Amino acid sequence: MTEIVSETATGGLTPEQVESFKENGFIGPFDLYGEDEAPLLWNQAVIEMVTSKNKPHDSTIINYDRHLDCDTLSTHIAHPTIVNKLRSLMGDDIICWKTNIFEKEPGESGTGWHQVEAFIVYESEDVAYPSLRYTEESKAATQELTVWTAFSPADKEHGCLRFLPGSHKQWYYDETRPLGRDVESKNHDFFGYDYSELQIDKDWDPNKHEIVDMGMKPGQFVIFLAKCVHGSHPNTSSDKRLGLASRYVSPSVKVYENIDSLTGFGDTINLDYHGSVLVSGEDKWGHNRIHETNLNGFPFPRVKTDEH
Amino acid sequence: MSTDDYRRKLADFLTKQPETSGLAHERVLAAQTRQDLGISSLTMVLLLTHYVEQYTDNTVTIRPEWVSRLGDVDGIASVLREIDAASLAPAQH
Repeated sequence: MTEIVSETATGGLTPEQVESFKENGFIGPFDLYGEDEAPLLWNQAVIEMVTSKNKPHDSTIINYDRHLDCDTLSTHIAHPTIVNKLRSLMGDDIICWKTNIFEKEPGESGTGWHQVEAFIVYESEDVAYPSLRYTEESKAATQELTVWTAFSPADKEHGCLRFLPGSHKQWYYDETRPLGRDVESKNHDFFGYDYSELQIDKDWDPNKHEIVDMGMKPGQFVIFLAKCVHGSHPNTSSDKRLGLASRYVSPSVKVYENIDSLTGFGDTINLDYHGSVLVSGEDKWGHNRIHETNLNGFPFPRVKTDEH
Repeated sequence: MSTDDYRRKLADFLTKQPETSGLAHERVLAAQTRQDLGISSLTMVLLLTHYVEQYTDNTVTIRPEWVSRLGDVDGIASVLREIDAASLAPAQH
């Protein structure tokens, strides 16, 4: 199998940035693409989404994992500028297990505060499985990270991300409980769900916590723990906000161990297509299916480490 | 061809595509935005691929900079004009 090895690792986080991440649960923004370049890259990805011969799934509602069939996004998730910063926090061995497209139309409301770690999936009202199962302790700062890249303006007016710094140190929400969906309700501001239903201490008010708005220019990205409580502002601009979240774990983490399909937002997708992408290091564990190429045959790039 | 000619060409084209066959010619001529026509952004790119296939026999590659112009009908018409021009370009050399 052809393997493209991109540039040798450089550009990791400084010790001060690592400490800041440990304290706050997020770090950024960082420059990745030029302001004019990022929207064109997204447009190219859209062309590839439309013309793809082998889509991961047919859903137009669940927009997961288009890095598995769009060459532009296949390249993006393994970009050395991203991966080398992840290595500073996770160690050399890293897989990308999921991507989500986050579009926010003009006038669309903000996304409510939420906090996850295992990404619980409900098979039925009573049966739930974690998307991620951690199999061993790690000396790294974390085994799970999300990178959110802006492909359009993503400042406060456009509905930027916002974080509660330090909130990753404790659970404010119980992600193991099910949520009811109601797209008509204004309280259901987490993609049709009311995440505050999961709040552990009903008297706790996230809006009284210190809040950091993560305004980003097109082409910038932020790294964060999904366990760090986060949400977004409404989009009060006249432009669509475009972001891509790429999610990474150590290959020691079992991905979708007991999960064959995903249901949400009124649709279901089968996970037969799914595989993770090794973006750095090696997979010593063999827990997960690893895709060497995307579904259209494009070889995934991989950042070369000192050992490999 | 003038801008109005391209609007008519767009209307002719859209009314013959399976995704937009329910559109009336007059509605396309009167529309200002893609949303007025009820066409999603992804469907519009798909329609562009149909246009490239039909009018250039796939000799033209869709350019990322065109995608940003597919939000309004004049922008779509201008992209059709550029596709036609691009398909003719090799013959001019």
